[in-house]
Amino acid sequence: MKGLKFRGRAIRPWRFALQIGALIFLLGGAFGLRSFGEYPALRSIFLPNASCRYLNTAPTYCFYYTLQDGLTAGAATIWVEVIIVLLIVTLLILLLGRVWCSWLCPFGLVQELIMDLRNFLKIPPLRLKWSHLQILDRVKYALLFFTVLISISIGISELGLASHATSWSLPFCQVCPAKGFFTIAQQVVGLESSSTRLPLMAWIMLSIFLVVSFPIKMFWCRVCPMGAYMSLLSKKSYLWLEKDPDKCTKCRICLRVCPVDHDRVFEEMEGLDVGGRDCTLCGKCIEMCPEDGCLSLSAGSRRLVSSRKPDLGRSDASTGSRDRSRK
Amino acid sequence: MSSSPANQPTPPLAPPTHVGGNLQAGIDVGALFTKVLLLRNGKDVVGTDARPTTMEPEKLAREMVDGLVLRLGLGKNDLSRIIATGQGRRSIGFARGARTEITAFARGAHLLRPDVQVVVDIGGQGIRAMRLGEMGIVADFRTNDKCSTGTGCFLDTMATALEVDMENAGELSMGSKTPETVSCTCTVFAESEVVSLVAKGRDKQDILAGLNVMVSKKVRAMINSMGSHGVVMVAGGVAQNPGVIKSIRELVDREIVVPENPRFLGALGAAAMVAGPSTSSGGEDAPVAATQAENARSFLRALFGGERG
Amino acid sequence: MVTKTGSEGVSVPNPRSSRYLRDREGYFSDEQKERTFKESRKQSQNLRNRLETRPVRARTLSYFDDVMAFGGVRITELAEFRQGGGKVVGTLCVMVPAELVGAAGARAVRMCSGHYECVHPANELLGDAGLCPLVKSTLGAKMVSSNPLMDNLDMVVGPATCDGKMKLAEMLEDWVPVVMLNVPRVKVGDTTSRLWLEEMKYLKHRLEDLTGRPVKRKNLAREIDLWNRVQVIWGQLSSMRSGPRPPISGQDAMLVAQASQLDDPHRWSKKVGELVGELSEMSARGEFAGEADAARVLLAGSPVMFPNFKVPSIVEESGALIVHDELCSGQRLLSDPVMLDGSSMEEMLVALAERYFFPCTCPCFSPNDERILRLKENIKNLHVEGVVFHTLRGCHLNNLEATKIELELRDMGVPFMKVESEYDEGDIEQVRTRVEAFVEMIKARRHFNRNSQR
Repeated sequence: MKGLKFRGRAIRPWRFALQIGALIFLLGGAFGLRSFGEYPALRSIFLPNASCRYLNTAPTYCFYYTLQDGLTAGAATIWVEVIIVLLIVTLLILLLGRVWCSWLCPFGLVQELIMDLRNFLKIPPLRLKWSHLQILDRVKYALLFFTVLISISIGISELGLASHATSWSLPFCQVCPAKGFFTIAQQVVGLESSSTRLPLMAWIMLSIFLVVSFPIKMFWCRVCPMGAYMSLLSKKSYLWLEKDPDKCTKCRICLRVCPVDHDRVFEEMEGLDVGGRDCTLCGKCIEMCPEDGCLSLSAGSRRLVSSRKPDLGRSDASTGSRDRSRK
Repeated sequence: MSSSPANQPTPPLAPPTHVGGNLQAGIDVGALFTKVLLLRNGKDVVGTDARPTTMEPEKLAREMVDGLVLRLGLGKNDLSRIIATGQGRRSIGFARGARTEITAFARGAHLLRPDVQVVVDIGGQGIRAMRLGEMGIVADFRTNDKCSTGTGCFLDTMATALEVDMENAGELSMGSKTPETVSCTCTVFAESEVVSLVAKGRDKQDILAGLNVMVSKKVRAMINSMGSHGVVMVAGGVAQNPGVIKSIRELVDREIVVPENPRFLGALGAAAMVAGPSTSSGGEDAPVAATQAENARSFLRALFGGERG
Repeated sequence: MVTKTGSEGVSVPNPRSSRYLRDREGYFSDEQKERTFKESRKQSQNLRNRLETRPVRARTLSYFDDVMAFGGVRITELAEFRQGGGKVVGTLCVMVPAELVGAAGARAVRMCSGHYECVHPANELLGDAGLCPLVKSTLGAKMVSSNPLMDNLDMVVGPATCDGKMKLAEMLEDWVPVVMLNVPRVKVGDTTSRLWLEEMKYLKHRLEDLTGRPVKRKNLAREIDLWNRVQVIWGQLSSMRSGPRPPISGQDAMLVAQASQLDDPHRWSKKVGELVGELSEMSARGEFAGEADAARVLLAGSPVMFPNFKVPSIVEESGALIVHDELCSGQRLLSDPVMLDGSSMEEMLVALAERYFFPCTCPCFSPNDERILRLKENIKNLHVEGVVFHTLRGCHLNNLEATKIELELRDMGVPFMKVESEYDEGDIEQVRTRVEAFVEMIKARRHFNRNSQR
C-alpha cells in the first residue's frame, strides 16, 4: 500500500533474515531440516534460547529449561548445571541486553509474522490502556518468581513434592507454547509419533499464544519469564538504544510503533540510554524516527545505525503519483 | 513646538585647539531637533549646532554642516566621513551611512565614559535605554513601545498647558518642595489632569515637579529592565532639564552621569563611529545611505501612494 | 446548533441562522465593502512589488506570487471546483490534517487573514478590545465579504487552540458550517492521544457528511503519501534557504510555504522542484539574496499571514536575512512527516492524529519544552545570529512564552528581540529603528567575536 515504505532506515529486513536463519539453523530439526544439534562441534555454542527440550534433535535446551531442571534436581547438582549456564547467559545478556528477543527468538518471529498477517488483513491492533499495559508487563515477573519457587520446592527433597507431580518437575515448560508448537511441528513432518498425546494445558497455552498475539502486539514478550530474567539484568548493556534529546521533537512516533510500548524512548529527555528493561532492541523506533541522528543502536560509544530523515530517494522532486485532474 | 535659540550654533563641547585635518561629522535628525557635531581625530569636538527639524531635513543638515565647516575655516574636503542617526537618518542622502540612535548614543556614551553600563536617551518622541557590553557594544536595549510618557513631546505639551516656556520649566520645578502627583500616564489625559490642577489653584512649580517624577519613574523602570548595576548615563534633549535630572537622581539609586550638552550625545556617537577600526558599527561601512534612503522612499510611496516620502 | 453524538449520528448546523451577530446585516455600507476589498488587494499588490524589486530573486517565484495573489487564478480554480460540486474547507489552524480533507474529496485552504483593512469592520462591531488582529481580520473579511477566498468556503474547521481562534470559529458559524475540535491543551501522553484521536474521527465523519464520500483507506494512504512527499520537497528548499549564503529570502520562503496551503499539492511540488533547481544554479553562480554581510536571523512567534509581511520585510530591509522561521505560517507547516506503521484505517488515523498534535510547538500547549529545544537546535545548526520574536497584540500565549524563551536564549548567548505589532502601518518606523539597532548589535558582536578570536 502506498506510503508504508516511507521511512528513513530499514532494519527489519536484516532482522528478519537473522530470525529465519536462527529458526532454520537452531530449530530446523522441528521441520525435518538439519539443525545444529546434528553437528557435534557446534553443541558447545550456548545462546539463551538456543533450542527447546521438545525438539528431538536438540542436544541442548533453552536456559530456562536448564534452570528449572537444575533447581528441581536439588542442591547436589545445582552448581554444575544451573550456575554455570546462568553465568554464561547472564554475561550474554549484560553484553547485549534483550536483543535476543527480537533478533533470535522463534517466538518473536512467530509473533511478528502474526502481526504481519493482521496488518495484511487491515485489522488494527488492540490499544490497551496504560494501566492495563502496566499490569500485563508485571505478569512475567510473577511467572518467573513462581516457576523458580516451584522448582526449588520440588528440588528440596524434604518437602517430598517430587513424587506427587512428576510432570511438574518442569513447571514452566508445561505452560510454554513451545511444547505444543514443536510437538505438533514434528508430528507433521513425521519426526514424532502421532500417538503422542499433548496434554490439554499445552493445547490451551499454544492457542492462547497464537490467538492473543493477533490483537495484542508482542503479547508473549510481555509475559515471557525468560524475558523477565533478561529485563532484570538489562538496565544497562553494551549494546544499547541511544537517544539524542536535542534532536527529539517529541512527535511520539517511536512510542506509537514500539511493539512492546516501551515509553522510556519517548519520555526520556535527560539521559541518553532509553532502552533497557523491556526494550528488545528491535530497531523499529530507529527506522521510523524522522529526525537525523536522534535514535541509534549503539555498541559502547559507537553508533551502529541511526535514525534518518526519510527521503524520496530520487533526484527529481516530483510527487510521483498520477494525479487525475485533482484540483 | 516650544521655541529655542534657533539659527545659532550652541557652544562647542571643548575649545578648538588646532582645527584642520581629520574631521568627521555626526548628524542626528530627531523628531523635534536636528543636531550636528563635528569631531576631529575621533576625539575632539570642534563644532556643534542644533536647529528645529524641518520638512526638508537633508537641506537643513547640509546647511548646518556647511555652516560649521565654514566657521572653522575649512572646506568640504576636510570632512572624511559623515554618519547620520535619529529618526530621519535615511533622508540624509549625502551621509556615508546611517545608524540607529541606539547604537549612536551607546557609542557616544562609551567615548565619554568607558565605564558606563547603561545609557538612557530621553528624546523628543522616544525614550531608549541601552545596556553596554564589552567594548561599548550594545548588549540589550529597550524602547518605549507605544507610550509617549516622559518624552520631550510629553513635557512640551504639559508646558504649553501650564503656559510656561520649556527652557524655564526645569529651573522652575527645582524650587518645588512638594511635588504634585499626576496620576494619568497618557499624554492626552495627563494634559487635562494638569489643566484641572491649575484650575484648582495648585502651584505650577509643584505640578512641574510632579511631571518630573513621572518622567523619572519611567526612566527608572527602563534602567531596571536593563538588569545591570553599574553607572548610568542620561542624555538626550530632555536631559537638559535640571528638574528632571534632579528627580532622576532622587529616585534612582545609582551613579547618574549627565554629559554637558546631553542633546548632542547621538551626534557625537555617530561622528565617532567613522573613526577607528573598532567602531560599534563593526567592520567595513558599505555606502548604504543611498540605497536605504531609496528603500525608505519607495516603501513609503508604496504604502501611502505618494502622500509622504 | 451543533450536537456531537459520538462517532455515529452527527447533525449539521443550519448555516443561515445568525445566532451570534444578529444585527450585522446592513451594518456595513457598500462603500465600506468596496474600500475594504480595494485596500486588501492593494496590500497584496504592494507586498508583491516589494518582493519583486529585491535585487536577487528567482524567476520561478512569480508562480507563487500568482498563487497567493488576491482574487487570483487560484481562487477562480476553487470557484470552478465548487461549481462542479466540489467542496472547499477552510482551516483555521495548522492542526487540521489536510490529508483527511483530501481523502474525503474536498480541498483544504488556510483561511487565516493577513489583510489590514479588514480589521476595521470587526472593530466596529466588536470594539477594539486588544483582540488578536488576525482574528479580527479574518472575521472582518467575512463580514464584508471582501476576500474572494473566504466567499468560496463550504465549511470551516476550527480547532479550539487559543481563545481568539475559538471564538472566531464560533462567530463564523453565522456564515458557514463550522466544525470545532477540542484540542487537549495539556500534553500528557496516552490520554491526550486518545482524546485527539476521537476528535479526528469526529472530523472524519463531518467531512464525509459534507462531501457525501466516505474516507477510504486507499485514498487516505494516498493523501498521506502525497503530503509526505510535499514535506520532503520542502525540505530541499528549506536546506537551501538556511544554507551559508541563501539565494532565497526568508519572505519568499514563507510565501512558498503558505502557497502550499492554498495551491494544488501536485503542482506546488513540481514548481518547488523547479525552484530548487533554479536556486542551485543561482547558488553556484554565487548569488546571495541578502546584503553583503547580512545578519542571519530566525523569526519566531505569532503567525505571519500573507500579506502581513510587515515585520519580515522590515527585518530583511535592515541588513538581515531570515534564514529560518519557527512560525505556523512558515516552517512548521511542513516539518513533520506521518510515519505509517500499519494499513488499517485506525492505525492511519492514529498516525495522522499524533503527527498533527504531538510535534506541534504552538504555545497553546503546556508543557511546551519542545519549542525551546527545537529553537536551540536550529540556532546551533544553522548558525543563527539573532532571534526576532514577533507577537501580535493580544497574543497572550506567545507574549507569555516570549519571556521564557528570552531567558533561555540569553543563557545561550543569542541576541533576542521582541516586537509586538498590530495590523496597521503606523508603527513601521519605530519597529524599523529597533530592528536596525538589533542588526547593528549583531554585527558589532560579530566583529568583536572575530577580533577576540585572533
